[in-house]
Amino acid sequence: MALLQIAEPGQSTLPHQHKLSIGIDLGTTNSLVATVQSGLPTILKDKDDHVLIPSVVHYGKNITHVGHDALPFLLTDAKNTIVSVKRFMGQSLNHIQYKDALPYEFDETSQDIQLKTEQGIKHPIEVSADILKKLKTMAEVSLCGEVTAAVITVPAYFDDTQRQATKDAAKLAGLNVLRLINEPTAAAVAYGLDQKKEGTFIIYDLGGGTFDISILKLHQGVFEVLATNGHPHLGGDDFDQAIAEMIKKTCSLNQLNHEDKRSLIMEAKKIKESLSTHPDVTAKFTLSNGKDIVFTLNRDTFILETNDLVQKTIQPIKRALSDAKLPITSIDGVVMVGGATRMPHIQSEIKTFFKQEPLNNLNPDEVVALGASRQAHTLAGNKSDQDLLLLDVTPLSLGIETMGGLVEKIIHRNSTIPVAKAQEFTTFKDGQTAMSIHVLQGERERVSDCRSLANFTLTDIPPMVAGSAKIRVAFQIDADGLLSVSARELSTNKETSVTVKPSYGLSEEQMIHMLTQSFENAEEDKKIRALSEAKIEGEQIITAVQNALHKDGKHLLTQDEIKDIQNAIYTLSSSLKESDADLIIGLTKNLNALTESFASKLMDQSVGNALKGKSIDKVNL
Amino acid sequence: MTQNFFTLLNLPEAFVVDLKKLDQHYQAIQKEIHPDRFASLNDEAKMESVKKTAQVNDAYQTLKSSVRRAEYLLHLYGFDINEEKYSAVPQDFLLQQMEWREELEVNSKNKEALEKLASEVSIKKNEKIDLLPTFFHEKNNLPDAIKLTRELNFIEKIEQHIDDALIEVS
Repeated sequence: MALLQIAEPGQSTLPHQHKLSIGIDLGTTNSLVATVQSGLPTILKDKDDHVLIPSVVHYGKNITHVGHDALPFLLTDAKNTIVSVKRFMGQSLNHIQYKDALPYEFDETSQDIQLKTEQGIKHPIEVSADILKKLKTMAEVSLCGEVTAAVITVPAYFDDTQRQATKDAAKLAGLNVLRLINEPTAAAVAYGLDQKKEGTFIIYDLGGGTFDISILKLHQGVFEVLATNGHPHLGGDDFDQAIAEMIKKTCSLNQLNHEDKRSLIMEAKKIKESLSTHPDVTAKFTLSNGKDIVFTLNRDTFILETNDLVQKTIQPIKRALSDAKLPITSIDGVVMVGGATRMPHIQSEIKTFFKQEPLNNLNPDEVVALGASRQAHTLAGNKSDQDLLLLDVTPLSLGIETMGGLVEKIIHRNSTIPVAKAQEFTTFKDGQTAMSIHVLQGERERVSDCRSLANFTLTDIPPMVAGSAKIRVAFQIDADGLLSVSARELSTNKETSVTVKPSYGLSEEQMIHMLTQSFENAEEDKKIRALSEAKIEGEQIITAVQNALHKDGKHLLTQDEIKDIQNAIYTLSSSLKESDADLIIGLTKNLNALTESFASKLMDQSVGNALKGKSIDKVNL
Repeated sequence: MTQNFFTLLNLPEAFVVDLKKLDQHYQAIQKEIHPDRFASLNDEAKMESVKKTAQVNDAYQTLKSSVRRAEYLLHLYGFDINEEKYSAVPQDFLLQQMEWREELEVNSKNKEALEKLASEVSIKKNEKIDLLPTFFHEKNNLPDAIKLTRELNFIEKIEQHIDDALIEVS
């Protein structure tokens, strides 16, 4: 329960205990970890002083290499060395662009992306989990302590499936995720707090594989996202790919093997990076068959050939401005984020579009992780930045399939999250006891043009005459941007079960299977850990409930309710002396259930408290 | 039960709303109950907070927009403006709408013309919004408030279409 905190913001239940929390920027090309140390966000370094950890995983015969350790295998073992896995998250096989240019073997029998490696089939979620594990260990070594919680950043334009996939990866990596936050929002937090800025800002975030645009209003510690837009598959990688295609064409290369495909992309990347500082660049390299390649590219040709990619970023800016109902002149600053914004033609295009110099005063690679660490620090319950409040939005509209393959929108894009909307449905046959609902995400009108999120089957509808059952289906998007659904038959007030069948991503069974696999050798550790986690949670809840009872119990609850809660506290606290994790979890749940309505009453009370002293002034009509 | 949005945000139940106060009250509540305040706590607390915050968000978004506020206020007074019986539209407004739609279609590739159309529509919209306070005052003229709110709903749709066209052009 622990709801008492709302009456005393900033007071953690265990104020003496500093909690190690980290912010993770899980990038397409590189990942970073940051933490708040003595009040300042700091990027953590690995043992060799690296700040950027390559998001690369090599699956060798008996060993997995992650980050810098995996780099030597990029060219020698391309097929088993996975890069840019973020682009695969929450995607199906037929969504991948340039599939043939990639040096991997996909399991073509599956709609899901499954990579065939030396260590067997790897799902993108598992690859991401391996990167996260590496980052977690790195942070723990650097901080000399166990990391208890993390904030992970995701592109603002990530849909529900991609967010869920990221959260699943964190779960596999054994990370307690406090929140998924949007990359441009994290950047805005770092920028706004660092530069002490107020006003309306645009974050232009072009990373390795994703593009986001967010418009935020910064005012007295409140970061309010007014609109967001973007492109789920657009980033520095596409510029590399464009150069690789030019090399292939100029040097008439076809039928490349895995290693050559990889070296082509790596050379292309090098050319792109050099062109940011040189007017022309010549690359010389040798293919695996001994053929020498010499390729020269000048900046003007590069700009011309990639102009369509740059233009692809302009449309989302216009949409975001339109959704925020803001003219271009009301933008106080344009903050550039992501390594790809180093390309000079992107800088100049943005300068022309906004008629102002873009802001580059923070390192575009680090700003997201720094912002995430601030938020992690606050969310973990450490007292600081108490007035910091992030109000983010959902990037895409959510709807359901209606007659004729059309989508009816239920939650509109750019609604502030959390958001909840309900819709009523009825049966069309006598005695109908089940109903299917297809949930989609996207802006287009037709089902086939939107992203299918899930098919829900409502069952246990009480049999009635057609049209008389009224089923209220509630859609809720939480603060992570994740969707959940519940349903209730109104005339009988009976909860109908919802069976979720995700259209993409992991099923519950797959997740459990992966989890058990990763803990196979650590079964005993897992038990000890579960017990200690259960005990900590049990203790926290007891303290919280006792405090709340002491403070507000008498005026919000009846004598009997108080007695029941006290009994539950007693049994739970006795169980904490034993070593039965399941029993502790069960009793904790029991206490939680008993205090549910108390929690709701406290929430209402704090709404009242928030507005205390703000009396209703007479408004002249 | 859904609470009255005005009560929830501690504002008088009226069409004219002090927008500055609306912002202040909204942010004050958010600072207390936003899920970020409960991130390290147990699921029940988080769920309660998500539910309440979603409600406050809904209230804020509804009261912030004049058109949605008018629609909501009418709903509180017992009128659902989407009902069949209010569907009749005055002849002159119908003609006006058709004219706008035609102009949008003809000029869908012409930036200047679209911008001109957008500002014309926006002026008409604001004229109509300016009439609402008198209609709502002491429930003076609710039938006309209903009519006007319906028209404003149409105007907002056209505005959106013009905006979409403007994004595509250039």
